[in-house]
Amino acid sequence: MRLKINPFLTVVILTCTFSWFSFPLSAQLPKEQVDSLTRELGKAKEDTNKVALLITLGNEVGYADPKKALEYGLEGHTLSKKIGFKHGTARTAYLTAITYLELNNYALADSFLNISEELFRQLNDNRSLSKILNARGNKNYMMGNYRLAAEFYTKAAEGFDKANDTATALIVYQNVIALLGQIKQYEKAVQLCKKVLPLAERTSDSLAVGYNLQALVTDLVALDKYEEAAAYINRLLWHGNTTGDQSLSAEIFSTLGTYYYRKENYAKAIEYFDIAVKKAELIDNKYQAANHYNSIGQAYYRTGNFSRAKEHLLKGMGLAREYNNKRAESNIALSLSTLYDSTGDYRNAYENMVLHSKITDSILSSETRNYASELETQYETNKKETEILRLQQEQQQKDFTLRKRNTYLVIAAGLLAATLIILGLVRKNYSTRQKLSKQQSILQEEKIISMEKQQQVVSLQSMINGQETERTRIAKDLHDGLGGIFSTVKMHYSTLQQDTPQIKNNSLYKKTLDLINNASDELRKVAHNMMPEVLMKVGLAEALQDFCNNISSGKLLKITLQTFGMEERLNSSTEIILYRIIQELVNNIIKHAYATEALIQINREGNRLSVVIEDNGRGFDTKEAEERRSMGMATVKSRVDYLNGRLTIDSRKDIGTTVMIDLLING
Amino acid sequence: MQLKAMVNILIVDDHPLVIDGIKTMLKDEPYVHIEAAAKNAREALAFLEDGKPVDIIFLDINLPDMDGLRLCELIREKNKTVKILGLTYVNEAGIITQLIRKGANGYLLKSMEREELIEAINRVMDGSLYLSKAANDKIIQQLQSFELPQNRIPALTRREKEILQLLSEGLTSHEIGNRLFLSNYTVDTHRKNMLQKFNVHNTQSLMNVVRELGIIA
Repeated sequence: MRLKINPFLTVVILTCTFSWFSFPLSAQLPKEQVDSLTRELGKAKEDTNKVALLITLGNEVGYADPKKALEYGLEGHTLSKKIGFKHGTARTAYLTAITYLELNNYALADSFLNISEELFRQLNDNRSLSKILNARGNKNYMMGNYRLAAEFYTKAAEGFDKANDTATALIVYQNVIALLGQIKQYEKAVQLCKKVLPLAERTSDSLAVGYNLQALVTDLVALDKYEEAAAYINRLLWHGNTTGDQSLSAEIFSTLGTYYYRKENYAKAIEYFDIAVKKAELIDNKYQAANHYNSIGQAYYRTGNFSRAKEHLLKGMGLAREYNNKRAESNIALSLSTLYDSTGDYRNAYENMVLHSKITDSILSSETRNYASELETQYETNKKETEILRLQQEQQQKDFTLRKRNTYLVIAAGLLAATLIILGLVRKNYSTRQKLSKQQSILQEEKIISMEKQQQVVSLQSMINGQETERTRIAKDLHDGLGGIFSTVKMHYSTLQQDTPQIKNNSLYKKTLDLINNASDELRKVAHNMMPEVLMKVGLAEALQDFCNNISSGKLLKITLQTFGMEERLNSSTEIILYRIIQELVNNIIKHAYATEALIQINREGNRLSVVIEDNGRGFDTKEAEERRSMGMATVKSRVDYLNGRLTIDSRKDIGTTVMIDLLING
Repeated sequence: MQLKAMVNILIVDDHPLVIDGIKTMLKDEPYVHIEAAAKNAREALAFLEDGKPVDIIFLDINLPDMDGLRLCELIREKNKTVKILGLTYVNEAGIITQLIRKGANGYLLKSMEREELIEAINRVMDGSLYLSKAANDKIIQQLQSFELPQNRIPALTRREKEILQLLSEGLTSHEIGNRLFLSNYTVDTHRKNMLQKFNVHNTQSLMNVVRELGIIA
């Protein structure tokens, strides 16, 4: 049977962060130097020099210890603000943002990007603004919003080009290349690589060239264009041997190994994968090392050296488990299953197959949850990918069964009892596999459904703004237009009584007057629901007070509102969105919670804003609610996202529910 | 009801129909004279600058060139004696109280009947405050849910109470987070909210205040 290899076609995305004052692709400082900087920090005075020091340190430790970098960034940010150092405030906000990005906290990353963008705009620092665009590109890349990522990268590249900053523009190009690889547009990636390569060479930055070549060969190998790739192999090898960036070096050797593996030169492949492992372990990247061990194992398998193959695969498996590299674990399980199958160890083959399927399932479903892409092309690609996966699995199943039948005949001649046991195993195996393949297709369906939902959220977001503008307009039209007419009708009508007093006794007159009153009240209510006048004219706190009074006067639910630091108004679109969020949450309480009391609390301090809504209702299971989230909750969530806020729901059965929203507001 | 002296009125409303309606309602009142009608804030201010006698201004709060609440404030700054009657289609407590705060003498809904209008004119000319009946109901509703200042010890949310309790036992934010399965960040937000609520700057002062108030033992 054919062994499926997963060449690790990884191309890394880069942030323009590595250092603020020198060229971004420059390699890390040596450890001693970082240590001496740390000592310096202890002695530093609270001035701009300390901010610069914190930024340098933050960038340096960012490679290995993002949490530490975050501390440096936030400390520098607070200090810069305190001493009124605007450049520093902007730079530290940027450092904080990209570190949050590394920690996958997209909302906070966004908030800090907003802050630094605003400041850099004021400082007229276009180069830094382009860096922010690149960071936004990376954020969207990491979230799977590839189309948006591409847009940001394009804008960032334009900015650097305009400033004639080829060196930094290269980083952005490199990111676009990674993006193209990610969405499997290898042809385009190769085209771009070739365009960028001479630029990188001209800046004589060997690191930039190294990254480019690694991407180029990776993409060519993905396209099975070995001959073309061959032209670059020697140069790539040279970079792998000479670069000071060990993580790049490890990637390069892995790419080289894959190249030779695909060319069926297994000895060479093993040699290079071995170097990749050593390099990865040197920089303590055990996560990636697991992948390299799998590659070596597969290469040994192909040479027929099963015992060496097994040894490496098991080592890789150990690392994958220890460092929670699910993808590697799944791939290695598949390799092991194939290996055991070839050595006749069917029980282990079967167990590893099941393990592989199980992990693949969990990766798929966790990816499904993380999926936030609106990109149609990506949707198509994914569909194909899973289709291929399914076909491959079917193929494997056939191979498995065929092989086993042959073996059974041999064994059956000698050991009938053993055959029976194995037959039983095979049947079980077969039916399990059938089940698995069914599960795969169900998962696929779920994935599509979830993507559709995500798409709804995205379009909801863009709807929010338009919707509120439209509501304001309609409410105004109702008041000024229809409202005016109704009022005037009533004014004239009531004057009629004065002119002809006997008309009061006419029942038709009375009926009509009542109807006019009803219509007018109804209109007022509709307009109010559209957009409360008090929210526009007076502010959020007063509008919420009115809202609470109206509900409390209904006697079913008593709502208390308390606000702190809300004397100044927020910007009007934030006010409207917060009002809608609170309105929806209160509606939920009325509809579902069976609560008698609720508390709405708003705290504002500087640009920190927190909203807490608490009821004494029957509570619910938050996990369950997450799964069957009502449309109402979905719009709350998307509105909170729109404000870049954080939504925390905390509900306890028969005690009540607390919803907390916190966000940073601009200005 | 008889009006004692001539009353001069200025209507400020961008809706010609409404002006027409008010004129119709007042056509049989010999003591009421509609001096002029302004379509926007600019015209209204220009008219008042001219110094023509005006006793009552009917003021629409939705005007094309300025917020009616702001216009009310401006007029009141310049002229302490003229009576201002807010005139709108909406009936929201927040708007009514703001208008009165900014110096209006009363509030009429545009859906009023003739008798109400005459009564409003008489009442404000007597020097009292006039609220149309529906507006009055809204204000009363608001007053009912309003607590007297001395009772206003800020309410604590459930989470805040729990966190306060653990703080009093000497736990750090981090330990509280672990205990309540909350992130440090969330615990910190609750703590900051409480500091602001009781107007103190550190956790120690917060504990002192809440002990003093008897919120925790």
